[in-house]
Amino acid sequence: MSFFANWKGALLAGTAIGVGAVILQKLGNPGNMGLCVACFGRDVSGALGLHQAAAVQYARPEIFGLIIGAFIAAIFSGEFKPRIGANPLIKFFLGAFVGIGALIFLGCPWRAFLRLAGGDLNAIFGLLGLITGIAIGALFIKKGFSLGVSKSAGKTLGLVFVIFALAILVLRIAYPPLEGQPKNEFLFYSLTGPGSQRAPLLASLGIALVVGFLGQRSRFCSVGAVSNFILFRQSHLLIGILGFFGAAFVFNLILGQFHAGFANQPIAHTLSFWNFFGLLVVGLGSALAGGCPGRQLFLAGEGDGDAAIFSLGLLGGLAMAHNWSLASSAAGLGPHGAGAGIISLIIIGCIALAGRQKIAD
Amino acid sequence: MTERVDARGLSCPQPLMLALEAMKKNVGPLTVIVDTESATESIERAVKREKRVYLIVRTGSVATFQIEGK
Repeated sequence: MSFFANWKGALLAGTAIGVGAVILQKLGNPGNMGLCVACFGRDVSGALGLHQAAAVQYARPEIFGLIIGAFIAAIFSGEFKPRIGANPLIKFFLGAFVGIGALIFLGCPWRAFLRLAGGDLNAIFGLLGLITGIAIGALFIKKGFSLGVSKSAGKTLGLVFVIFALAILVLRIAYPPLEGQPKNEFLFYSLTGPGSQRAPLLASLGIALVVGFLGQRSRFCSVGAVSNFILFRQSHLLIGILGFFGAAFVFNLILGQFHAGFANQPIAHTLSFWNFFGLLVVGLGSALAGGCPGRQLFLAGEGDGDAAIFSLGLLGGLAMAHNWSLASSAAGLGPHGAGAGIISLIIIGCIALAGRQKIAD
Repeated sequence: MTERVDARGLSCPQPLMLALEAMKKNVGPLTVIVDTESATESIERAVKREKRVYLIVRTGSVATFQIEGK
Protein backbone atom coordinates (compact mmCIF):
# COMPACT_ATOMS: atom_id res chain seq x y z
CA MET A 1 0.00 0.00 0.00
CA SER A 2 1.25 3.48 -0.73
CA PHE A 3 1.91 5.90 2.13
CA PHE A 4 -1.21 7.87 1.22
CA ALA A 5 -3.38 4.76 1.52
CA ASN A 6 -2.95 4.73 5.28
CA TRP A 7 -4.50 7.18 7.69
CA LYS A 8 -1.33 9.17 8.29
CA GLY A 9 -1.01 9.86 4.59
CA ALA A 10 -4.65 10.90 4.36
CA LEU A 11 -4.24 13.22 7.34
CA LEU A 12 -1.06 14.75 5.96
CA ALA A 13 -2.59 15.38 2.54
CA GLY A 14 -5.76 16.88 4.03
CA THR A 15 -3.74 19.10 6.34
CA ALA A 16 -1.55 20.35 3.50
CA ILE A 17 -4.60 21.13 1.37
CA GLY A 18 -6.18 23.08 4.24
CA VAL A 19 -3.00 25.08 4.88
CA GLY A 20 -2.63 25.78 1.17
CA ALA A 21 -6.19 27.11 0.94
CA VAL A 22 -5.78 29.44 3.90
CA ILE A 23 -2.46 30.76 2.60
CA LEU A 24 -4.14 31.58 -0.72
CA GLN A 25 -6.74 33.59 1.19
CA LYS A 26 -3.96 35.48 2.96
CA LEU A 27 -2.27 36.13 -0.38
CA GLY A 28 -5.33 37.71 -1.94
CA ASN A 29 -8.02 35.17 -2.82
CA PRO A 30 -11.52 36.10 -1.56
CA GLY A 31 -12.52 35.46 2.05
CA ASN A 32 -13.00 31.82 3.02
CA MET A 33 -12.39 31.04 -0.65
CA GLY A 34 -8.78 29.94 -0.80
CA LEU A 35 -9.78 26.98 -2.91
CA CYS A 36 -13.32 26.51 -4.21
CA VAL A 37 -14.04 24.44 -7.25
CA ALA A 38 -17.50 25.94 -7.79
CA CYS A 39 -16.51 29.58 -7.24
CA PHE A 40 -13.33 29.27 -9.27
CA GLY A 41 -15.07 27.27 -11.98
CA ARG A 42 -17.58 30.08 -12.16
CA ASP A 43 -14.74 32.61 -12.42
CA VAL A 44 -13.15 30.56 -15.21
CA SER A 45 -16.43 30.39 -17.13
CA GLY A 46 -16.66 34.18 -16.75
CA ALA A 47 -13.08 34.66 -17.93
CA LEU A 48 -13.97 32.72 -21.06
CA GLY A 49 -17.04 34.88 -21.58
CA LEU A 50 -19.55 32.09 -20.95
CA HIS A 51 -21.33 34.46 -18.58
CA GLN A 52 -21.23 38.24 -18.24
CA ALA A 53 -21.29 38.79 -14.47
CA ALA A 54 -18.45 41.32 -14.39
CA ALA A 55 -17.56 40.71 -10.73
CA VAL A 56 -16.72 37.03 -11.16
CA GLN A 57 -14.48 36.67 -14.18
CA TYR A 58 -10.96 35.33 -13.75
CA ALA A 59 -9.16 32.35 -15.25
CA ARG A 60 -8.18 31.02 -11.81
CA PRO A 61 -4.85 29.21 -12.09
CA GLU A 62 -5.97 27.05 -9.16
CA ILE A 63 -8.45 25.11 -11.29
CA PHE A 64 -5.83 24.23 -13.90
CA GLY A 65 -3.20 23.53 -11.25
CA LEU A 66 -5.50 21.00 -9.55
CA ILE A 67 -6.02 19.13 -12.82
CA ILE A 68 -2.38 19.24 -13.89
CA GLY A 69 -1.09 18.37 -10.40
CA ALA A 70 -3.32 15.29 -10.35
CA PHE A 71 -2.15 14.43 -13.86
CA ILE A 72 1.51 14.59 -12.77
CA ALA A 73 0.76 12.42 -9.72
CA ALA A 74 -1.05 9.91 -11.91
CA ILE A 75 1.81 9.74 -14.41
CA PHE A 76 4.38 9.22 -11.64
CA SER A 77 2.38 6.51 -9.91
CA GLY A 78 1.38 4.70 -13.08
CA GLU A 79 -2.26 5.57 -12.45
CA PHE A 80 -2.87 7.57 -15.60
CA LYS A 81 -5.56 5.37 -17.11
CA PRO A 82 -7.79 6.94 -19.73
CA ARG A 83 -11.31 5.56 -19.41
CA ILE A 84 -14.88 6.48 -20.23
CA GLY A 85 -18.23 5.18 -19.03
CA ALA A 86 -21.54 4.38 -20.59
CA ASN A 87 -23.41 7.55 -19.62
CA PRO A 88 -21.25 10.62 -20.12
CA LEU A 89 -24.23 12.87 -20.87
CA ILE A 90 -25.78 12.02 -17.52
CA LYS A 91 -22.49 13.00 -15.89
CA PHE A 92 -22.54 16.28 -17.81
CA PHE A 93 -25.95 17.24 -16.46
CA LEU A 94 -25.15 16.04 -12.95
CA GLY A 95 -22.19 18.43 -13.10
CA ALA A 96 -24.39 21.26 -14.34
CA PHE A 97 -27.01 20.86 -11.61
CA VAL A 98 -24.35 20.43 -8.94
CA GLY A 99 -23.00 23.79 -10.14
CA ILE A 100 -26.40 25.44 -9.77
CA GLY A 101 -26.81 23.99 -6.27
CA ALA A 102 -23.34 25.15 -5.26
CA LEU A 103 -24.10 28.74 -6.28
CA ILE A 104 -27.30 28.74 -4.23
CA PHE A 105 -25.14 28.00 -1.18
CA LEU A 106 -22.15 29.95 -2.56
CA GLY A 107 -19.45 27.34 -2.60
CA CYS A 108 -18.51 23.75 -3.26
CA PRO A 109 -18.18 21.30 -0.32
CA TRP A 110 -14.54 22.31 0.14
CA ARG A 111 -15.62 25.91 0.59
CA ALA A 112 -18.31 24.84 3.05
CA PHE A 113 -15.50 23.54 5.27
CA LEU A 114 -13.35 26.61 4.60
CA ARG A 115 -16.26 28.89 5.46
CA LEU A 116 -16.83 27.12 8.76
CA ALA A 117 -13.08 27.13 9.42
CA GLY A 118 -13.18 30.90 8.97
CA GLY A 119 -16.05 31.27 11.45
CA ASP A 120 -18.94 31.52 8.94
CA LEU A 121 -21.63 29.67 10.90
CA ASN A 122 -24.03 29.68 7.93
CA ALA A 123 -21.85 26.90 6.59
CA ILE A 124 -23.22 24.60 9.30
CA PHE A 125 -26.55 24.51 7.47
CA GLY A 126 -24.72 23.92 4.22
CA LEU A 127 -22.78 21.02 5.68
CA LEU A 128 -25.95 19.50 7.14
CA GLY A 129 -27.49 19.74 3.67
CA LEU A 130 -24.39 18.20 2.13
CA ILE A 131 -24.48 15.25 4.54
CA THR A 132 -28.22 14.79 3.93
CA GLY A 133 -27.73 14.83 0.16
CA ILE A 134 -24.86 12.36 0.33
CA ALA A 135 -26.87 10.09 2.65
CA ILE A 136 -29.75 10.03 0.15
CA GLY A 137 -27.29 9.33 -2.66
CA ALA A 138 -25.67 6.55 -0.65
CA LEU A 139 -29.09 4.99 -0.13
CA PHE A 140 -29.70 4.96 -3.89
CA ILE A 141 -26.26 3.42 -4.48
CA LYS A 142 -26.97 0.77 -1.86
CA LYS A 143 -30.24 0.01 -3.65
CA GLY A 144 -28.39 -0.55 -6.89
CA PHE A 145 -27.96 2.86 -8.51
CA SER A 146 -25.17 2.73 -11.05
CA LEU A 147 -24.16 4.75 -14.08
CA GLY A 148 -22.59 1.65 -15.54
CA VAL A 149 -19.15 0.36 -16.28
CA SER A 150 -16.21 2.45 -17.49
CA LYS A 151 -14.00 0.99 -20.17
CA SER A 152 -10.40 1.87 -20.83
CA ALA A 153 -9.83 4.27 -23.69
CA GLY A 154 -6.97 5.60 -25.77
CA LYS A 155 -4.37 8.01 -24.43
CA THR A 156 -5.91 10.88 -26.41
CA LEU A 157 -9.12 10.72 -24.41
CA GLY A 158 -7.22 11.02 -21.16
CA LEU A 159 -4.98 13.81 -22.39
CA VAL A 160 -7.51 16.04 -24.10
CA PHE A 161 -8.94 17.56 -20.92
CA VAL A 162 -5.50 18.05 -19.37
CA ILE A 163 -4.39 19.83 -22.55
CA PHE A 164 -7.56 21.96 -22.43
CA ALA A 165 -6.67 23.00 -18.87
CA LEU A 166 -3.08 23.66 -19.86
CA ALA A 167 -4.18 25.74 -22.85
CA ILE A 168 -6.30 28.11 -20.76
CA LEU A 169 -3.53 28.31 -18.18
CA VAL A 170 -1.13 29.31 -20.95
CA LEU A 171 -3.59 32.01 -22.03
CA ARG A 172 -3.74 33.25 -18.44
CA ILE A 173 0.07 33.42 -18.26
CA ALA A 174 0.62 34.87 -21.74
CA TYR A 175 -2.22 37.39 -21.50
CA PRO A 176 -2.21 38.83 -17.97
CA PRO A 177 -4.77 41.42 -16.86
CA LEU A 178 -4.34 44.89 -18.36
CA GLU A 179 -4.49 47.75 -15.88
CA GLY A 180 -8.07 49.05 -15.68
CA GLN A 181 -9.25 46.90 -18.61
CA PRO A 182 -12.05 44.33 -18.18
CA LYS A 183 -10.76 42.20 -21.04
CA ASN A 184 -7.59 41.58 -22.97
CA GLU A 185 -7.23 39.78 -26.28
CA PHE A 186 -8.81 36.59 -24.95
CA LEU A 187 -9.82 36.68 -21.30
CA PHE A 188 -12.15 38.70 -19.13
CA TYR A 189 -10.70 39.97 -15.85
CA SER A 190 -12.93 41.39 -13.10
CA LEU A 191 -11.98 44.90 -12.00
CA THR A 192 -14.07 44.72 -8.81
CA GLY A 193 -15.70 41.99 -6.74
CA PRO A 194 -14.49 38.46 -5.92
CA GLY A 195 -13.02 37.97 -9.40
CA SER A 196 -10.62 40.85 -8.77
CA GLN A 197 -9.38 39.34 -5.50
CA ARG A 198 -6.60 37.04 -6.52
CA ALA A 199 -3.44 35.59 -5.05
CA PRO A 200 -0.29 36.03 -7.19
CA LEU A 201 -0.20 33.75 -10.21
CA LEU A 202 2.77 31.68 -9.07
CA ALA A 203 1.36 31.13 -5.58
CA SER A 204 -2.04 30.11 -6.97
CA LEU A 205 -0.51 27.76 -9.47
CA GLY A 206 2.16 26.34 -7.18
CA ILE A 207 -0.18 25.57 -4.31
CA ALA A 208 -2.80 24.13 -6.64
CA LEU A 209 -0.23 21.84 -8.27
CA VAL A 210 0.76 20.49 -4.85
CA VAL A 211 -2.89 20.12 -3.84
CA GLY A 212 -3.67 18.34 -7.11
CA PHE A 213 -0.74 16.00 -6.56
CA LEU A 214 -1.67 15.20 -2.95
CA GLY A 215 -5.38 15.03 -3.77
CA GLN A 216 -4.81 12.42 -6.43
CA ARG A 217 -2.50 10.34 -4.25
CA SER A 218 -4.77 10.43 -1.18
CA ARG A 219 -8.15 10.20 -3.06
CA PHE A 220 -9.18 13.36 -1.15
CA CYS A 221 -12.96 13.64 -1.56
CA SER A 222 -15.47 15.42 0.63
CA VAL A 223 -18.38 13.38 -0.69
CA GLY A 224 -16.63 10.02 -0.51
CA ALA A 225 -15.55 10.87 3.04
CA VAL A 226 -19.17 11.08 4.16
CA SER A 227 -20.60 8.27 2.01
CA ASN A 228 -17.84 5.79 2.94
CA PHE A 229 -18.44 6.53 6.58
CA ILE A 230 -22.22 6.22 6.32
CA LEU A 231 -22.15 3.06 4.22
CA PHE A 232 -19.15 1.17 5.57
CA ARG A 233 -17.90 3.04 8.64
CA GLN A 234 -14.65 3.52 6.69
CA SER A 235 -13.03 6.67 7.98
CA HIS A 236 -10.02 6.91 5.69
CA LEU A 237 -11.29 9.78 3.52
CA LEU A 238 -12.98 11.41 6.50
CA ILE A 239 -9.58 11.71 8.19
CA GLY A 240 -8.36 13.65 5.16
CA ILE A 241 -11.31 16.02 5.34
CA LEU A 242 -10.93 16.49 9.09
CA GLY A 243 -7.25 17.29 8.54
CA PHE A 244 -8.28 19.81 5.89
CA PHE A 245 -10.84 21.48 8.14
CA GLY A 246 -8.64 21.39 11.25
CA ALA A 247 -5.62 22.85 9.47
CA ALA A 248 -7.72 25.61 7.88
CA PHE A 249 -9.26 26.44 11.27
CA VAL A 250 -5.92 26.61 13.09
CA PHE A 251 -4.20 28.61 10.35
CA ASN A 252 -7.13 31.04 10.16
CA LEU A 253 -6.71 31.62 13.90
CA ILE A 254 -2.98 32.13 13.52
CA LEU A 255 -3.38 34.52 10.58
CA GLY A 256 -6.24 36.45 12.20
CA GLN A 257 -8.72 35.29 9.54
CA PHE A 258 -11.24 33.73 11.95
CA HIS A 259 -14.40 35.75 12.65
CA ALA A 260 -17.28 33.75 14.10
CA GLY A 261 -20.86 34.72 13.32
CA PHE A 262 -23.70 34.56 10.84
CA ALA A 263 -23.92 38.12 9.52
CA ASN A 264 -21.46 39.90 7.23
CA GLN A 265 -19.45 36.82 6.33
CA PRO A 266 -17.46 37.06 3.12
CA ILE A 267 -19.42 36.04 0.00
CA ALA A 268 -22.20 34.38 1.96
CA HIS A 269 -25.88 34.89 2.78
CA THR A 270 -27.78 34.01 5.92
CA LEU A 271 -30.73 32.08 4.46
CA SER A 272 -30.35 28.87 6.46
CA PHE A 273 -32.87 26.82 4.49
CA TRP A 274 -31.29 27.67 1.14
CA ASN A 275 -27.78 27.09 2.46
CA PHE A 276 -29.00 23.63 3.47
CA PHE A 277 -30.88 23.07 0.23
CA GLY A 278 -28.07 24.22 -2.09
CA LEU A 279 -25.57 21.76 -0.69
CA LEU A 280 -28.20 19.02 -0.47
CA VAL A 281 -28.40 19.24 -4.27
CA VAL A 282 -24.60 19.21 -4.46
CA GLY A 283 -24.31 16.23 -2.09
CA LEU A 284 -26.87 14.11 -3.91
CA GLY A 285 -25.63 14.96 -7.39
CA SER A 286 -21.98 14.44 -6.49
CA ALA A 287 -22.65 11.16 -4.69
CA LEU A 288 -24.39 9.83 -7.80
CA ALA A 289 -21.49 11.05 -9.94
CA GLY A 290 -18.93 9.30 -7.72
CA GLY A 291 -17.17 12.28 -6.13
CA CYS A 292 -17.24 15.91 -5.09
CA PRO A 293 -16.39 18.60 -7.68
CA GLY A 294 -12.76 18.73 -6.51
CA ARG A 295 -12.38 14.97 -6.70
CA GLN A 296 -13.81 15.08 -10.24
CA LEU A 297 -10.94 17.39 -11.24
CA PHE A 298 -8.41 14.95 -9.77
CA LEU A 299 -10.07 12.03 -11.56
CA ALA A 300 -10.11 14.02 -14.81
CA GLY A 301 -6.36 14.50 -14.35
CA GLU A 302 -6.03 10.69 -14.09
CA GLY A 303 -7.69 10.39 -17.48
CA ASP A 304 -11.25 9.69 -16.34
CA GLY A 305 -13.36 10.98 -19.23
CA ASP A 306 -16.58 10.92 -17.20
CA ALA A 307 -15.04 13.14 -14.55
CA ALA A 308 -13.85 15.53 -17.26
CA ILE A 309 -17.36 15.68 -18.68
CA PHE A 310 -18.82 16.24 -15.21
CA SER A 311 -16.38 19.15 -14.84
CA LEU A 312 -17.40 20.62 -18.19
CA GLY A 313 -21.04 20.28 -17.16
CA LEU A 314 -20.17 22.04 -13.93
CA LEU A 315 -18.57 24.87 -15.92
CA GLY A 316 -21.72 25.16 -18.03
CA GLY A 317 -24.09 25.04 -15.06
CA LEU A 318 -22.08 27.69 -13.24
CA ALA A 319 -22.24 29.97 -16.28
CA MET A 320 -25.99 29.47 -16.67
CA ALA A 321 -26.46 30.16 -12.96
CA HIS A 322 -25.27 33.70 -13.68
CA ASN A 323 -26.85 34.09 -17.12
CA TRP A 324 -30.26 33.20 -15.68
CA SER A 325 -29.84 34.90 -12.28
CA LEU A 326 -29.96 31.65 -10.34
CA ALA A 327 -26.83 32.32 -8.28
CA SER A 328 -27.07 33.75 -4.79
CA SER A 329 -25.09 36.75 -3.58
CA ALA A 330 -24.41 38.35 -0.21
CA ALA A 331 -27.88 39.94 -0.57
CA GLY A 332 -29.59 36.53 -0.67
CA LEU A 333 -31.06 34.26 -3.33
CA GLY A 334 -30.90 35.12 -7.01
CA PRO A 335 -34.27 36.11 -8.56
CA HIS A 336 -34.70 32.60 -9.97
CA GLY A 337 -32.60 30.76 -7.42
CA ALA A 338 -35.41 29.03 -5.53
CA GLY A 339 -37.05 27.62 -8.65
CA ALA A 340 -33.73 26.53 -10.08
CA GLY A 341 -32.82 24.75 -6.85
CA ILE A 342 -36.09 22.83 -6.78
CA ILE A 343 -35.86 21.90 -10.46
CA SER A 344 -32.24 20.76 -9.97
CA LEU A 345 -33.27 18.50 -7.11
CA ILE A 346 -36.18 17.04 -9.10
CA ILE A 347 -33.99 16.28 -12.11
CA ILE A 348 -31.20 14.73 -10.04
CA GLY A 349 -33.89 12.73 -8.19
CA CYS A 350 -35.20 11.43 -11.53
CA ILE A 351 -31.68 10.42 -12.57
CA ALA A 352 -31.32 8.60 -9.23
CA LEU A 353 -34.61 6.74 -9.74
CA ALA A 354 -33.88 5.90 -13.38
CA GLY A 355 -30.40 4.66 -12.48
CA ARG A 356 -31.90 2.04 -10.24
CA GLN A 357 -33.53 0.51 -13.30
CA LYS A 358 -30.09 0.43 -14.87
CA ILE A 359 -29.76 3.10 -17.49
CA ALA A 360 -26.43 1.39 -17.66
CA ASP A 361 -27.39 -1.72 -19.59
CA MET B 1 -16.90 -22.94 -5.41
CA THR B 2 -15.27 -19.53 -5.07
CA GLU B 3 -17.65 -16.63 -5.38
CA ARG B 4 -16.49 -13.97 -7.79
CA VAL B 5 -17.17 -10.23 -7.75
CA ASP B 6 -16.15 -8.32 -10.86
CA ALA B 7 -16.11 -4.62 -9.97
CA ARG B 8 -14.01 -3.45 -12.89
CA GLY B 9 -15.06 -0.12 -14.35
CA LEU B 10 -17.41 0.77 -11.51
CA SER B 11 -17.10 4.14 -9.83
CA CYS B 12 -16.72 4.91 -6.15
CA PRO B 13 -18.11 3.55 -3.84
CA GLN B 14 -19.52 0.59 -5.77
CA PRO B 15 -16.43 -1.68 -5.82
CA LEU B 16 -16.02 -1.44 -2.05
CA MET B 17 -19.74 -1.92 -1.51
CA LEU B 18 -19.89 -5.07 -3.66
CA ALA B 19 -16.76 -6.49 -2.04
CA LEU B 20 -18.08 -5.89 1.46
CA GLU B 21 -21.52 -7.29 0.66
CA ALA B 22 -19.92 -10.44 -0.72
CA MET B 23 -17.64 -10.78 2.32
CA LYS B 24 -20.52 -10.31 4.74
CA LYS B 25 -22.77 -12.94 3.20
CA ASN B 26 -19.97 -15.34 2.35
CA VAL B 27 -17.81 -17.28 4.74
CA GLY B 28 -16.15 -19.22 1.91
CA PRO B 29 -13.38 -18.10 -0.44
CA LEU B 30 -13.98 -15.06 -2.57
CA THR B 31 -12.41 -13.45 -5.62
CA VAL B 32 -12.78 -9.69 -6.16
CA ILE B 33 -11.52 -8.01 -9.32
CA VAL B 34 -11.01 -4.24 -9.59
CA ASP B 35 -9.15 -1.99 -11.99
CA THR B 36 -8.35 1.21 -10.10
CA GLU B 37 -5.79 1.82 -7.38
CA SER B 38 -8.32 3.71 -5.25
CA ALA B 39 -10.67 0.70 -5.24
CA THR B 40 -7.75 -1.63 -4.52
CA GLU B 41 -6.71 0.45 -1.53
CA SER B 42 -10.20 0.78 -0.06
CA ILE B 43 -10.93 -2.93 -0.47
CA GLU B 44 -7.57 -3.87 1.05
CA ARG B 45 -8.42 -1.74 4.09
CA ALA B 46 -11.82 -3.43 4.36
CA VAL B 47 -10.42 -6.95 3.98
CA LYS B 48 -7.86 -6.25 6.71
CA ARG B 49 -10.60 -4.95 8.97
CA GLU B 50 -12.65 -8.09 8.35
CA LYS B 51 -9.51 -10.02 9.38
CA ARG B 52 -9.60 -12.19 6.26
CA VAL B 53 -6.48 -13.75 4.79
CA TYR B 54 -5.93 -12.44 1.27
CA LEU B 55 -3.60 -12.22 -1.66
CA ILE B 56 -3.56 -9.58 -4.39
CA VAL B 57 -2.56 -10.64 -7.89
CA ARG B 58 -1.82 -7.75 -10.23
CA THR B 59 -1.94 -7.95 -13.99
CA GLY B 60 -1.46 -4.55 -15.59
CA SER B 61 -4.01 -2.23 -14.06
CA VAL B 62 -6.22 -5.09 -12.84
CA ALA B 63 -5.95 -6.23 -9.23
CA THR B 64 -7.48 -9.57 -8.25
CA PHE B 65 -8.10 -10.20 -4.56
CA GLN B 66 -8.08 -13.84 -3.55
CA ILE B 67 -9.72 -13.85 -0.16
CA GLU B 68 -9.71 -17.03 1.90
CA GLY B 69 -12.77 -18.34 3.69
CA LYS B 70 -13.27 -17.63 7.37
